[in-house]
Amino acid sequence: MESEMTGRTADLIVCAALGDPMSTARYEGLCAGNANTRVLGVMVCYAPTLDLLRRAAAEKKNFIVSREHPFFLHGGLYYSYGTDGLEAAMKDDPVVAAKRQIINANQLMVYRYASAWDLFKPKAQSLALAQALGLKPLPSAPGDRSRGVVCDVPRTTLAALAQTAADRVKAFCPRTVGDAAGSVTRVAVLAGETDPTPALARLLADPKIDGVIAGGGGTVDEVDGAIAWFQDLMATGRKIAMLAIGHLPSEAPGCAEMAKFLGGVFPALPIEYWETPDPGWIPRS
Amino acid sequence: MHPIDIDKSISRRGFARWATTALAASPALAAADPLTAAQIVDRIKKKLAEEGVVWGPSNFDRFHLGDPGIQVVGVATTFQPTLRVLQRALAAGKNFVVAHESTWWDGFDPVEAFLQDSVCQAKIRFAEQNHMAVWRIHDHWHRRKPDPIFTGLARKLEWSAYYKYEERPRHYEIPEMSLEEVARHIQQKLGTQNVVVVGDRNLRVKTVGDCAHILSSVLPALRACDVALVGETPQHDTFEYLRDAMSLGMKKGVVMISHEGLEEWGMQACADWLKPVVPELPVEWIATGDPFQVPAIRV
Repeated sequence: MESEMTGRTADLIVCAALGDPMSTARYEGLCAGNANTRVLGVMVCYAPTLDLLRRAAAEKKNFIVSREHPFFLHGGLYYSYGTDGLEAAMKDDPVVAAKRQIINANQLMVYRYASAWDLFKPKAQSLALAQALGLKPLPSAPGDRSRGVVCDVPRTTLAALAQTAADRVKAFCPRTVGDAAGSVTRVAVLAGETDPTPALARLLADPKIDGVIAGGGGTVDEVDGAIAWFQDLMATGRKIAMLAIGHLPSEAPGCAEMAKFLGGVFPALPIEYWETPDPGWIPRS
Repeated sequence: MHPIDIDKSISRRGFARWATTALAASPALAAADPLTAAQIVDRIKKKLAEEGVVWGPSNFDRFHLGDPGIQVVGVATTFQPTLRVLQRALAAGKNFVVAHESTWWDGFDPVEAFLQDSVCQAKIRFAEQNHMAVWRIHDHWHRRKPDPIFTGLARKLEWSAYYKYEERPRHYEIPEMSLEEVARHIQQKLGTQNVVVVGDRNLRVKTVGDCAHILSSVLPALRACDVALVGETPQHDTFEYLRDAMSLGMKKGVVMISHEGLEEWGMQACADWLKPVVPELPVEWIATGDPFQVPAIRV
């Protein structure tokens, strides 16, 4: 089914549905393509990879909604991760050039609604991850607009939950901080980065929380951020450990959830969520 | 507030007993004039200047915890002054910690942002009760030629022979091997399984570029070498960039290790460098260690 709607109109409808016009947000909204192009179909993904762009062109899904930026400009969604140097480093980059060529040649449009989606439903990504892992989140406090959710689990270990993550969300590069063999009964689930540190500290304020399942996203989490704080938390004597399942596997369930949401926004348009595998691997014996 | 079990830490009275014992056990130390942390820093700056590293402005390099006027009984160098490192330093009789990375969980160490945090309070209390201080040397340690952080990594990887600092800094020309063999070599030499790789396992690798922690730093290494070896980079941009590069047919790989795995060997070298600076005090490197372990899973 084809519509007469352009990308610009679709963007306005999405922003209205999300309750926040994100046209001024850096690295969000229309990231690539011509907004006056007629929308033929909608594809939702974690990252608009080259392979997905080629497939979108072949299958006429030219309105692409992504969690990440087509040219790798993540920006500071929740922390001060600078991308100014990256923009300069990307000038004349062959990968960026190839993606632009495919987008323009096939009249694709890439729209990013990461912050907008999170502002609309702050817990959506973590909730979707928890549900994908088979966990049932506890009700959150009224007015709680933090990202994480908390789940009671039958006594288990983070090592066992790592297998669950591998089986259910294809997280094949899990890493743990602390004792993965220690028992856990209440876990905080936080899709994406663990930063900012004060937010993680608030999420873990309940002393009964003895495990964290997060995505983990890089140096901003580790030495410079919340994982360093988490190590210090453990050193104070708190019995707690963390399972970092990887950024993509942690965010993907929320992207699928967004596709369902957009199905309600555009009932006449074919909307699909396309998954991508985590590209990482760890040599194992 | 988080429950803090700080009882394991050494109390003020305990420290006094321990310090007295330490001083008594070392007549030379007991006879010498007490040396403060600030005086040690002055000596470090002097030695750096003699090596051509003149002390200048830095967002990082200063005292971050404790009183610079403490009487130092031992010096520990480390990569990151985590609370566990401070506990281990104290247990080893070292109350002045010279660290490369941050104390307060943000690159610029703004303790003010965390003063209400119970973990921050515990760390401050631990230092106060045990007369400890933490001083950071990041920028100035990197300014030495050759950069000891990266010669330390080369030594740890047993790749020093392939590291031609004068010709191409942070660039290794290694005997050809597959990407998987590179990753396994790094696992073995660093003593950690925490090595996450993006790329074809069978990619033939002759050159490796080590790089800092964001995509803008990874790109020059990737463009110059077969493989970029990076300390904890954001997966959402670096991994996705490489995925697309491979899709275009580029024969490249990324090997991600922890920030500690990349850099902490340079602070091991710092301990040896410091010994002649403070000959009257014991100096020891304390490993921060890789924070990540890799659980076994069935794939």
